[in-house]
This record gives sequence, C-alpha cells and structure tokens, in this order.
Amino acid sequence: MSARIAVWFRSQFLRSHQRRDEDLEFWWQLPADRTRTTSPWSQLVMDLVTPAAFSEWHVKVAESRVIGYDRIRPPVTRMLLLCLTAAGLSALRAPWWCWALLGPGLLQVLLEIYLSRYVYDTADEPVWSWARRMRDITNAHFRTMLLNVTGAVGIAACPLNVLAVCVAPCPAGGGWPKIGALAAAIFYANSGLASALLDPPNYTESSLMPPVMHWIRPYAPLISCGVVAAMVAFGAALGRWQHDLLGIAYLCAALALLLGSTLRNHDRVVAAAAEVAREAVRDGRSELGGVVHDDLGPAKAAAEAASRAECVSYQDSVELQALAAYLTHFSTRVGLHASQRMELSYLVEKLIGPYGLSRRDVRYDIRWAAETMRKHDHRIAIRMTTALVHNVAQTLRRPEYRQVPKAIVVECFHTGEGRDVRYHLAVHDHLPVIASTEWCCAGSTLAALRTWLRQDFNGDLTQQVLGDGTKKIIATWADRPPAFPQAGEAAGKPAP
Amino acid sequence: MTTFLIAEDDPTKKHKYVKFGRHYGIQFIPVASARAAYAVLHKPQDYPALDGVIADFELGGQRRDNWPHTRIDTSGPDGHTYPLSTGLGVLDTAHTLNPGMPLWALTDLSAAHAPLYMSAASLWLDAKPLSIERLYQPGTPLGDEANEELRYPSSYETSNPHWRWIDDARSSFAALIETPYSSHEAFDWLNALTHLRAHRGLIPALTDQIRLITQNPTLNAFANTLAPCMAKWQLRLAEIYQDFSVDRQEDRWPVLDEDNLPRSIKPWADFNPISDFLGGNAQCREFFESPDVRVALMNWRSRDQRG
Repeated sequence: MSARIAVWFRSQFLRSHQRRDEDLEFWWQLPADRTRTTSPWSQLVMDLVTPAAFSEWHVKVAESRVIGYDRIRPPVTRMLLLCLTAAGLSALRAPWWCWALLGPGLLQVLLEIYLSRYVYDTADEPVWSWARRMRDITNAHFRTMLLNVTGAVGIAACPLNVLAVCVAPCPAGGGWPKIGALAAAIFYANSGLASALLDPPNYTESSLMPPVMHWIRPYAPLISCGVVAAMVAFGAALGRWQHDLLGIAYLCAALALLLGSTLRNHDRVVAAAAEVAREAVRDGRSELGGVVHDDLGPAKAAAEAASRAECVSYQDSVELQALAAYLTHFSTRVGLHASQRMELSYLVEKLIGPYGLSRRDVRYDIRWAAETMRKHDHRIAIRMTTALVHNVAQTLRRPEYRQVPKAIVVECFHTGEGRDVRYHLAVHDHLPVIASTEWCCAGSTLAALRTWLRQDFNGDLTQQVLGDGTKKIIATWADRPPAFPQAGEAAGKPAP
Repeated sequence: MTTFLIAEDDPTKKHKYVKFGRHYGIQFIPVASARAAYAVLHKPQDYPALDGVIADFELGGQRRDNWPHTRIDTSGPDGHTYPLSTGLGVLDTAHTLNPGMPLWALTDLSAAHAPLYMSAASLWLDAKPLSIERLYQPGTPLGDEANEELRYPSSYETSNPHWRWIDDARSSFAALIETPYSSHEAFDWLNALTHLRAHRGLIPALTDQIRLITQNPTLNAFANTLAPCMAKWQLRLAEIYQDFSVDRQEDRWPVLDEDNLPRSIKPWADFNPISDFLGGNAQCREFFESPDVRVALMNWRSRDQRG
C-alpha cells in the first residue's frame, strides 16, 4: 500500500505532467473550447473545476500579456497593498517581529520592480552578478515552470503578510484598521497567486511542472481561503482579534475567493477571443482567396492560353496548366482546416471539365499517403497528373474517339523501401493501345513527358496493356536521385 | 459574317473571345451590361443581323452604385416594370423578342452558380451551355467544336462537351422548382433560404424572409412540414451539381434518404447547403433574388401552360 502511495506521490508531485496541447496542425487554426457545456447551468459548475486549457494560442496570449501588458503593474500593485498592510500594522502599534514578517513581501516587490527591466526580451544587463543570475532563472523558467527567485520569495511573502496581521495585537479602537490591513494582505496574496497561476507554464505541454500544479489550479482560491481562515482562527486563539469583529475577519477570508474570479475571467476571455480570432483568420484567408480570384483570374486565363502556344516547351506548358488549377485551389481552400496540399481529385476535376468529362467519369485508387509524402514528390505527382489526364481528356474529345467509354481510373502507389522508394502514377483509360512503333515517337507529348521523367526525376514513362482493350500509361519516378550519374550525364549528354 | 451578341463584363475575357472570333471569322458584338444588351436587342436595325445571343450571368448588377449604368427597367408580362440585370434576363428578353434565336449561357464551369444558371437557361429558354474555356482555345479541337456549334447550333449534341451534363441537370432543376412548399413557389422559398445566416431560429427567420419576399403575410413555415421539402430540394441540388467541379463542401452536406425523408430540421443543424453554400455565394444569391430571373421563370410557366 505504501509503495502505491509512493508511486502516486512521485507521479503527481515529483515528475513532470503528461498532458498535451490541443492537436492542431497549425497554431492559427486555434483550439476549440472543450469545456463548454450545452446547459448554461452545468457550465457554472464546470467553470469551477475545469483546469487551464493547453494550447499554443493560450500560451502565446499569456506571454504577450505578461511581457506587453502586465509589465510592472503586478509588483507595483503589490507594493501599494504592502504599504496599506504596513499602515495597518503601524496603526496597531505592531511589535518588531510583526514587521519582520513583512520582510519577504518587501524583498519580493523590490526585486520584481528592479528585475522587471532586465527580464524577457531585453538587452539591458543588471550590474550585479546575483541579479544577472536571478534574471537568467526567470528567463529560463518563463515558459516551463512557475519557480523563479521572486516567486519563491512570494511563496513565503503571501501567507506571512496575512499572518503578520492576524497575530498583530489589537489595541482598543484598532479593530477596523486590523480588518483593513487583513484585506490588503489578502489582496496581496491574490495578486501574487494570480501572477503565478496566469503565467505561461499553466497553458502549455512544455511545462515541466508536476501534475499537482495543474490540477490544483481551479481549487487554489478555495485553498487560499482556507489558509487565511485558519490564520484568522490562530490569531483569535491568541486573543488578537476584537470579539465583535471576528466575524468580519472570517468574512474577509472570503476575499481570497476573488482569485478564482480573476483566473476564470482571464481564461474565459482567452477562450472567447479564440473564437473571434478564428473568424478573423477565416475572413483574412477568404479575403486573400478573393484577391487571388479577382486579381489573378485574368492571369489564370492567360496561363491557360500560353500553355498552348507552340513556342512554349512541354515542361512549361504542363506547369502553366497546373498553375491554373493551383490558382483556383488557392482561392477556394480558405477554410481553417482546408488541406494545404492540392488533392489530385481536385486537380483532375479541373482538368477534365472543359473536355466534357464529368467527375463521375473518374475513379481514384490512391494507395500512397498523399498528406505525408514529401512535398517534392507531391509536386511531381501534380505535374504528372496534369500531363497524363490532360492528354487523355484531350484525346477522348477527338471525333474518332467519341464512342469510346469516358471512364478513367487514376491510380497512385509506391514500390520499394527506404531510399529505393519509387512512386507510380497511372491513368487507366479505354483508348486504343499505342503501338510500340508509335509509343513516344519523336515530337509527341508522351516523348516529351518521358524525357522529362528520365532527365529530371530519375523516372520513366511506360504503357501497360491490360488485354481487355484498355491500357494504363504509368509515370514512375524515384524518391531519391540516382546514387551515381547516368552514363549520358557523366559524358555531359542528355540520357537517350 | 456570323454575328453574335455577347454580354460579358470582364475585359480580359473579352480580349480572349474577340481573338477567338478573329481566328474563326466570327463577329462578336460585345456588351458589358444588361442595359447595353437590351439596347442592341431593341434596335436591331442599328446592328448587323444576329445569329445568336451569348450571355454571362453576372453583369455587374450586384453593385448598387453600378445600377444606373448596368440595369434597365422594362415591363414584365403582368405589366409591372422590373429591372433587367443578369445574363439570364438578357437571354429571356432575346427569347421573348425572337423565340427562334439560338442562345448560349456562358460561364466558368467551376463557378458556384454555373449549374443553376446553365440548367435554368436550358430548361426555360433552350439555351445551350457554353463554358468560357472553350472560347479560350482557338485552333484546338475544343475551339473547333465551339466554332462548329456556334455556326450550326443544332449540332450541339456532338460539338458541345457539356450538353449531357446539362441534360441531366435540367431535369433535376425542373424537379427542384416543381417542389412547392405551403402551396408556394419553391423558387421563392429557396430565395428566402439563401438569405438566412443564423441556424438558430431558422423557422421564424425563414417565415419573416418569405413574407418579405412575397409580400404575403399569411405564409408560414413549420419545421415538420418544411423538413421533407427541404430534403427534396437538397437532393435535387446535389443532382444538379453532381457533374460540376464546384467546390461546394460536399462532405458537409447532410446525408439524406429519398425514401425516408426527415421530419425535423435537425439534419441541417451544422450545415445547410441552401443557406450556407448557395447563400454564401454572391452569384447564387443573385440568381434567386434577381427579379429578371423570377420573370424568366414566370414567362416559362406561361409558355408551358399555353403550349
């Protein structure tokens, strides 16, 4: 039993947590808020227990807030609250040891204000080496853990301030100043805890903190309230509270719960801002798509026309035909989760449309992982699809082939392993088999395509006769260039 | 010389088809608005005799500041005036003036409104589909076919690559507009739906919109009766779009069964193809809201009744 407790203790208190960020391909897709409930009533409860969301969006907002918006506001606020606490103690004529309890608080705010100009992204250097060391710790832990020197001092300062007030004597007429000092000390603790619990490590899987630091966060206000109430009770046991104000002192402890309001308001705003930011990204992409559509529409038509000019080389004409599809793809794929890569089916539909082939005429047998194959190979696949499908669609439109079935199949697969992987893109059609004497004859587009594949992509173009009157034309290329230069290249000549 | 009136407001495209015309010895009279097309059609004596009319759908009628230059008010079959603003209105005017005039509905095949426009023009006016890409390719088999079709419109079954698409689509389009709801034109309901955005409160919002469009305060929509009707509209739309490579977020369309139509509007809670896809596209919205398209529909209905 004790072994199990030890394992649990180690996993929760000593080892780093295992939670992960929201799974998004790009951070600007922005995380969905999984804590929203259908019923507004259950949401009230959910908000009380839900931990901070982990995502790049949340951590970026936290970093931006701390560096750009918080700046010295939190330590200066704490300095003011410390002064109010000290004023209360002064009114109570507190003994020296009560003042000594405020020491960590004073040290914390002075250090924080002094270090504020040296931490994060600044070129300023502290004069003293101990300050440089503190600055380095703060910078190093900024995105990974809550522990830094001023934070460690704050761990002591927050409860000691409250304790100083609770155990300070309460002379006649000192009841209300003591209540005021207690409130100031509690607000100091709230400010310190809020700074820690809203720091970037609370929102990221990069945090090195143990799980307890994450799951305890929603309950921190309750724990803080309990600790303050316990200190008030301790002071009462020592007879340091006026009896008629003791109830007010306990009520003051409830001020610690305001910390929860601060944390949850912050988290809600960040989550709500994600919705708006998502809309902004979507609108921006849509606007950009519109610009591409409106401004490059004429260029698309020009590219199509230029692709048919006789003076344009075969490679360039294929590139220009693909460009037209790319432009349309760019202007329509504006959704947040739209595929960044143009799908071959999308390209094929764009290519065959003008020739009267319907998307229902095409079947796809894609056996390679289009989303994970190298970009280089995907780009070749786009070009080969453009070349082959365009060739078939154009031929099917010829008067002599009007009775030929229009159905085509686009097959994609790879062979080999490791560095010997070869990709194959085949178009299966019902057009007559090309006689071996006419296959890739000089000046034909197929000959140009074969030369392109051989010279640039370590590949080849082949015809497979299927025996049922149909055939496949297969473009093949290697994932890697050849280990040794081909004979023609070595001699400075193009391959045959 | 074979002469066509061509209504198309894009100067780049104009450059292309003028080049096409020069290549094949075809004269195009280019106009950039419905207003200009109307002027040519109503003053035939000022222009060479027309062998046909070609019109793109969107002719700059969406921008309100363009209206005085692009639109023209004309009188409809019931004596009321209506603005002529779209290519469909131009084709309908040409058909009314000369029912034997060959017509072509010109557009980019991947445009979201292309299937609607080409189907409507085919069904109502017997206009042939003309993909703009065909006019970009003089000297190629595709360009030669376009030339052949323009010169001999009756040869379109062999020379028009898309006639079969439209042949299928127009029967689905006919079924779409012949599926009324609450004894009222499906076309108006579709118009109302394309102007809705929020999914929440669909029924009250739709009721307000249809009353606004029809000026009929007694029209009502009820979820349980609207749902099967909306399902039929969606199924017909899917058929109309099935051959076209239009980016219509097909994977988000609710899966429906013709033999088991829904009785609630839940299937459209996340995505409604009519309000989200058609309504999200400016040209599709223009198709349903333009008075001249509505007049073309009414003209077709009255011809149908007479015939």
